[in-house]
Amino acid sequence: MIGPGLSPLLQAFRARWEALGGHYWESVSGPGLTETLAAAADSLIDRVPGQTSSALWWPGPAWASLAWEAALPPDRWTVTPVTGREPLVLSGRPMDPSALRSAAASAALGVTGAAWAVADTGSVALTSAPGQGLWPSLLPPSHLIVLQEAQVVATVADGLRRMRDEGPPPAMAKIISGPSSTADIEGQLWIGVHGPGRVGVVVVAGAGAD
Amino acid sequence: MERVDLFVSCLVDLFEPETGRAAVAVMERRGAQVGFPSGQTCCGQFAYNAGHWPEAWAMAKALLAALDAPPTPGPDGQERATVGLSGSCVAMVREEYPKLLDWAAGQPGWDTSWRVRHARVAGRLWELSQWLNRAAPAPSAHQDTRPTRVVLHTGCHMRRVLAAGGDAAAVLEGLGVSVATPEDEDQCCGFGGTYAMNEPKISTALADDKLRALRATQADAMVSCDWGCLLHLGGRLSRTGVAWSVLHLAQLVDLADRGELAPAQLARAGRFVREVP
Amino acid sequence: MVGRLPRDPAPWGERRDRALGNSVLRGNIRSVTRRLADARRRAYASYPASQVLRVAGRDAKRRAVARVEPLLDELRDRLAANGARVIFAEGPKEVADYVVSLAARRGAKRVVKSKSMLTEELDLNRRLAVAGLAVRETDLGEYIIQLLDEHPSHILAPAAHRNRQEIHALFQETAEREGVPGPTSDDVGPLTAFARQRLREDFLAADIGITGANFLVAETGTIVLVTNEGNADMVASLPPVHVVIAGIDKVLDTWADLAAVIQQPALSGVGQRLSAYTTLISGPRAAGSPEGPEELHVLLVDNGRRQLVDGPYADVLTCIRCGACYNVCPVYRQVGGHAYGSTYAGPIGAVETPLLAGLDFLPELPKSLCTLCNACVEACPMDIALADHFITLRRRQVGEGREAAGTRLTYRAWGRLWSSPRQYQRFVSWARRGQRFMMRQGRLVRSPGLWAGWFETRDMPPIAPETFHEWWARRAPSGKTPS
Repeated sequence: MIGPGLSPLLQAFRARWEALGGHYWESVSGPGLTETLAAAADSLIDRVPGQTSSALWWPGPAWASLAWEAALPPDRWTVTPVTGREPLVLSGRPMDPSALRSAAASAALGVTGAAWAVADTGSVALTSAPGQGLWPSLLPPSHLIVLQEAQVVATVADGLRRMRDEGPPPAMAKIISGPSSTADIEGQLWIGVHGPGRVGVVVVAGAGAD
Repeated sequence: MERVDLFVSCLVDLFEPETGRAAVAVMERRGAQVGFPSGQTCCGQFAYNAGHWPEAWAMAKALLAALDAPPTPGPDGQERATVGLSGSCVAMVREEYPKLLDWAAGQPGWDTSWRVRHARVAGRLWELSQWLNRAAPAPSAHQDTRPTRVVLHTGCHMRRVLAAGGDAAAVLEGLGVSVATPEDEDQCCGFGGTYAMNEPKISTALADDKLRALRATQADAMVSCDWGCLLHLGGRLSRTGVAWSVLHLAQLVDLADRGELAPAQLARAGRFVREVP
Repeated sequence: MVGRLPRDPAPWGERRDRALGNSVLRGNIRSVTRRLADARRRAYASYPASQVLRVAGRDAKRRAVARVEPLLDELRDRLAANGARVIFAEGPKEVADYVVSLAARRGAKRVVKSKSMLTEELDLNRRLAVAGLAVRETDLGEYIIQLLDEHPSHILAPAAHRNRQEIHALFQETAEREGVPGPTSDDVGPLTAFARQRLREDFLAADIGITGANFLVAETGTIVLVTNEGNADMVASLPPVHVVIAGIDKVLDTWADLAAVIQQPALSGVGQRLSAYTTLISGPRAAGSPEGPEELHVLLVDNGRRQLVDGPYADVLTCIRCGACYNVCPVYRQVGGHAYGSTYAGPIGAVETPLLAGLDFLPELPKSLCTLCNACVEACPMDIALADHFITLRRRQVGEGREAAGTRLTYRAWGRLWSSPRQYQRFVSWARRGQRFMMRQGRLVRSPGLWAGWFETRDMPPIAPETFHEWWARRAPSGKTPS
């Protein structure tokens, strides 16, 4: 549930995530979630009037029931959705890695799920587990993550332990703590260099996604 | 009455004996009976830091022999302390001598009794501000409404090796002297012992930065517990024609005890150059 | 084996003077180091877990160095089981040869690279260029210095010695040469956007991606990359081949050890609880995954490191390259990285370079780059005994006869004179006589020999008319304190 009844863990995560420059939204599952996703997606990009924005949608099997057409409606978005698990499906057809790559390289927004999140450091972990992808978090200048409240753990050690408990580590895992940054020019901090400059998370509080 | 032996350091002995005289007066005022083991010369840190360990060991042995004495309690049963007038020398004897001893143990002519002697010497050795912060302060004769303001420079060995940076400020404030902190307070002044001679350009660049920060506090004088740092910084002031009062803690405490903290008195006492007769 | 490191051919005096005379470099280095040192201090002060984490991380690194050989075997076996090719490489030539033949086998022409100090140490880019392989550095600071054909001046901020205007001019030239629009202004945003745009094309077209590694976990066969920009992830997951080049000192034992140390590069390096991207790679692309490289190659490099494992300098191998020591070193803050003459600068560089490449390699490093202030010892999260190492390296140089004869004789005489009270007194009378020729207006202004450098820029007071010894003897000749 939303509001003052939030777990301390989630409050701590939100505080650190926002301190790092991440954007934060909450929802319960159901139609409200789709609306929240739509609002979040809109605020993470710079919309060009009269044009749709492109998105690579790949939140993973845990969010299979999420209707991307409702979250990223066609009057505002051109969406490349990745669904399925083994096999993966890209825009309704068998996965084509080079089409995926082009979509990722040209998308304004990437949408992913997550493996877990860390309250202590304000971080979100993604993995290349079956059905899940990392390119939507890498190439587009904006990145939106859908997360369940139960996925938030206290420390990095807790998260790594959780990962280890599930078996051998996946080929690639990435712990994200805020947008990409550099201070290589005159020591001035600048947000958004190679990785996304804008990152946001939608936390679904309460019971799991239906 | 507490019996105290003085360990002045070679720099005080040779170049700034006034600091030693002031320290004697300051400690006697605080009830100490001051002795001076006259066999002392130098702790050897110049040679040690430069990698000349046989020479450092020779000096260390001489110093340990001079400062070592069987425990001899005074009339009121108090153990005899040794007070050093150089933070870096006290750090050397307490914290670095064990490494020198470890090395010497592998050399011919080693005698394990050196470790015992070192333990005795180091166990009673204090730096002046540490000793002063424990001793009862003498009543200050200082009457001015405007407190004298000094800027305190803590040497790196005192700060980090001896881990004893806090006592000097406490002693001074207890005497009604206001203590300013320069910007980049914990950055090295560039003395570094023989570094100042090997690498004069970088050493001097550091001195100039440190002096800029110290002078920016607009304090009446610069104070330290280390004549190494003070000779380096003071020597630079002298060469660049800047007149500013450069004092050891012992000198400043002595002046405070006697109520002689007016700017003119500070300037005279902290004058870097003394006429040669 | 003795390591082979790149060396600036200019002698120490010239490198030092060049640095001291470069006010842009000094200003930038000063502000970058101050910002990072302050950030580290604030992070430690405000993060309750920091000290506990630091000690746990330090212990994990120490245990790993103590067991490096069996751990490397375990790492190799696990990485191979995960589908990676693992090679042990002695030094620069073996690494370059491997990459060149890999490129030939794949018909690869374009290489992208993320920042790796080890690859600088191995002079990899130059060796690959000689073999006809174009390597693009993708870390913003490394990209800039690659265009300038220069070396990094700070371990975390390689282009710290250049200002915005210079970078703007550089990017304008590059844009003209490549026939693309240049940056719209010399503000940081447009400059960064220009680099991002150029490098994006390189990422997407590259045949091989080369990264370093911050940690290697033996238990799981995992390669860990700690970055803030996001380029390492692009390099590791976009090209069809990923090559990891890491020192053997990067190996850790267990996954739990990784958890202990994983936050330290960010905490001690830049004062963040974790870097923007902490990436864990445990194999090439999984079957059925469209993302990631087909081939993963891991080169485990010695280049002199094995010399340190069993000895008093083993702690040097626990360095995590966080740069905390650079940011507090008074000498580094004056001269920046180029003055050190090789890949590694700051306190760790001055100590590790002679240990890897020999005392003869850059003999001035232990002697001329350290005031023994111990600020590095205080800052190092791994508690590396840097100050002690400077002194024992100096001791080795003296013991091996590398000191000038005049210096050796001076110290010998000094030691003899000052280790006996009577000789000391003799020294005082002799010095009093000698100093008369070195004075002006009551100050000492010159001296021969060892002390001459002092007097280039500073005065000294003369030896006092009455030393403390002499005053005390006059005051209390019987040894009794007068009333």
